[in-house]
Amino acid sequence: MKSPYFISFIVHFFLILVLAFWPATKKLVLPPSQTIQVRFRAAAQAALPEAKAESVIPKPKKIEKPVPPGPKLVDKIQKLKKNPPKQEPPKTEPKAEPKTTTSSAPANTPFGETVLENPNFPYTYYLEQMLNRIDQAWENPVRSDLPLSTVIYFRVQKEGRVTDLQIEAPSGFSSFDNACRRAILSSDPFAPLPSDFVDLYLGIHLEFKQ
Amino acid sequence: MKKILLLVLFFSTTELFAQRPDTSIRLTLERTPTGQEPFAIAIEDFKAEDNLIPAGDWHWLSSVPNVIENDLEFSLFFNVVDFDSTYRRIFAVTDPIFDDWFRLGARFILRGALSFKPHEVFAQVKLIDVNARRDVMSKKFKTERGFERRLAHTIADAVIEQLTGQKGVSSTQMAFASKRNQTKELFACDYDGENLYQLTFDKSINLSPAFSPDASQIVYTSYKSGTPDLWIFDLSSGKAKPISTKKGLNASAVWSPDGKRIALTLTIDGNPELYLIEPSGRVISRLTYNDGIDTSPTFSPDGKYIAFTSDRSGSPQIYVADGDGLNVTRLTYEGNYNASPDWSPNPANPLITYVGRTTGDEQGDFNICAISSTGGLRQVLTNTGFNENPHWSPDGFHVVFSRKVGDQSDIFTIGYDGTGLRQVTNTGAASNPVWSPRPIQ
Repeated sequence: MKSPYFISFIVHFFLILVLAFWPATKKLVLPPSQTIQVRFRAAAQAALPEAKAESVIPKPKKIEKPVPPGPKLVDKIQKLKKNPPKQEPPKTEPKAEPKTTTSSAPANTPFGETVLENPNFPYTYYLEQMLNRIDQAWENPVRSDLPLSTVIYFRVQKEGRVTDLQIEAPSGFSSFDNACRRAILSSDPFAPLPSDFVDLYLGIHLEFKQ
Repeated sequence: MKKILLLVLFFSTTELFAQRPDTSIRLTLERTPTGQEPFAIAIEDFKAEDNLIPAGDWHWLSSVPNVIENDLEFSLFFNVVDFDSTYRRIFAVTDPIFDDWFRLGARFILRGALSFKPHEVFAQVKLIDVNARRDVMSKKFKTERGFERRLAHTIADAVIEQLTGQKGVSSTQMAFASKRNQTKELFACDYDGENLYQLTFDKSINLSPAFSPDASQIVYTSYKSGTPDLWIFDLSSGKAKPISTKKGLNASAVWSPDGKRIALTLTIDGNPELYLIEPSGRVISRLTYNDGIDTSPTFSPDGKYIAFTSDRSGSPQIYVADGDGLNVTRLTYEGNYNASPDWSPNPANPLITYVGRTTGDEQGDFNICAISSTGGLRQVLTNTGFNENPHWSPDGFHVVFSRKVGDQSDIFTIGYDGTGLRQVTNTGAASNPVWSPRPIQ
């Protein structure tokens, strides 16, 4: 009659021993932290509460590894536009656009549609000033009625420096492409990015038109 | 209809009177240096972070924003939005909030709070984008007690840099010579004329101050020992010593942008010629060789070229040469008197400012002019009086100069496009101004 108790005692004793001396090599594995990106609409016409909007800065922010520039990047962005990745559920404003575009460029500027890589960039003043400076530095060497268009991708870093500049969609006229590139490079550096903008850089696809 | 006719008449007569006998053309330049609309900014009174502000310091809550407002308007990049009295009456608002500024057209709001400690003052400042309703800048500043104006200038420069990417000039200073009885002593003040203090107490004549590129020293010509020698004044110690005491004139000195050389006029060979010397006084080389007077050298921002005044053609004109004095080319051809050039330190806007007689005859006005460093048509910035000694601000958007009316001479500044004339001193005795570089952080 004693044996079941004895066996139970022995089994429990060994279980406790095993648990006590279990090698602690395996670290505790937590479920992967979810990155939530909150999107803001460009708030030009929005109604105005006394804004303490600073308190709703999206945090934590996913810090992306810089993608090596190349045509792959464009493909990736195209895909991103079609299928927003899972870890970015639009939480607050589900209908927000995944990109910001400033399509209505004034007629006397060389710019076509400007696409921002970062959807959460509501600072229109920054883009206006940037385009203004590029416009000032822009000198079109091509004298013809031929419609030309070049898309240039570049990044503006936190302190305003231009990096990763590349011609994304060449016009076919290298002098036109190079003049577009020069206009951006001679405006470098731009003003520092706003302090509330938490991304590491601002990616811009800028179209020059003639 | 009558009104329209009157207007037409008015404009046509002003046009007629605006015709000057000389051929100079006043070019219309963009109002802001970047060519875009000025930023509309609202600056609120600062709040007290705690109630421990000494009674004598409460005024800083409105004085600091006032200084910032003055700095931002001066920069040409900003348009400060007023809290309009009509708006205040209609909406019965005493303390404007976010919505009020939005309705008044402000694009940015500057908010701040001050806290006073026994020896220090802290300012927490936020710059808010009204459209995005987010912070563009949030920074903390501190200074020692007694330097509250300097704190305000630092905040203004931070706002300018955040929004434009360009460094402001709010923290810069000016040095000038001021007449006291029969002597001329050197003085310095903030760029807005405040904080005036005396540098030299030589009871002698001190002239043509020039800052070193790190703004720590000033070279000037002094008659302290009886002859016009070149002296160097150390701003941190307040002490001066002679560095060039060659026979004759040691005058109109200017530092090279790298701070390793000083160009000046010497008469050791009998005739005023340009020389390069080291800050220790050792002569490096002679730059000019001719019978005329060569004086007032100024370096290009990269230090590779020198502009100067020479009367080798019969009248004083501006010339440009390589840094070693070779390849001299004449720059000015309009008028029979063009002198004291100063090369803009902003490489993006390569202009040389100088004094030019603009009406051709012997009695003509001496005006402040600007010309591209490669030549071309001049722009006339001032339009009246006897103006002298123009010098650029470190950003190349303003010029400081002295203006003589009768026997009174005072310091003024003007924008590079000829707008925004401001009087800096009002003692009637100030001349020879020079704008300091930005202090090295």
